[in-house]
Amino acid sequence: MIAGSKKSTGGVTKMANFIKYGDRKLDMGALTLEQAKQLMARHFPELADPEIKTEKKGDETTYTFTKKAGRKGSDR
Amino acid sequence: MNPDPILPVVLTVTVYPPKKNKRMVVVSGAPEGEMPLVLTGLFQERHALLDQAYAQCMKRKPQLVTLKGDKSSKPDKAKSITGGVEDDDEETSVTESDATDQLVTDAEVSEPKNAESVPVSPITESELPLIEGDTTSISAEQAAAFAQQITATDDVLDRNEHLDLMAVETDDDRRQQEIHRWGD
Repeated sequence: MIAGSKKSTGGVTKMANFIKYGDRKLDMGALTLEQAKQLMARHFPELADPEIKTEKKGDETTYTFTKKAGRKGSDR
Repeated sequence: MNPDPILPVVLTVTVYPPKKNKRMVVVSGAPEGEMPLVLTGLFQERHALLDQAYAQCMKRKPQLVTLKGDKSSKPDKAKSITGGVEDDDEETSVTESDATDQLVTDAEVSEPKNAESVPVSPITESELPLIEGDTTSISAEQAAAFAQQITATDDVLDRNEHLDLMAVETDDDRRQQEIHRWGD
């Protein structure tokens, strides 16, 4: 079963959550924000400590991930 | 199929603690640097989910993540805030230098041959360069006459030098002859 997309359980429409990173958008599905953060950190090491902006448009919630600006000379 | 098979595909399986006697699994997969696809299911379905994730990764089009600061993706936005005037100047300077650094082509090599066949027009007085402090005005004919005189004197000097050398040779010969006489 592919996660994501709007789910209607018993007439109640759940909100669709999306992750946005760069120019790409990913359907979070049943994942929580914490789980999504862990998943993104595994695929994008630069997002180990991300900056997240939340945007809500109707039923959709988009979490925009951005790399936190680190100090000069730091590893990140 | 994925057009770049060199990139490794990263598949991750996350097993969450059981809730209501159901253990959930999240499988994510993507080639490196691409947005992952996410599959969720029960722990018992984990093998099928892995296969499905890999198959979908290979089937889908590449979804490389391009960030705003990435120059290669959006070169127009990567220009400086100053309006890109300086950048344009730099580009033109680069092209000029490239033009001078170009390799010599066959067409350019053949140009001097054509240039030799072009008849040279005689130099007029107006074309002669002005020399500071020189009040005399010499016409082109006079200049040509002076040039002939100079070449003639040069020839005379060359001959005199040759004669001097001959004279030196004769002196040496005489000395050698004298030495031979004394030796005898």
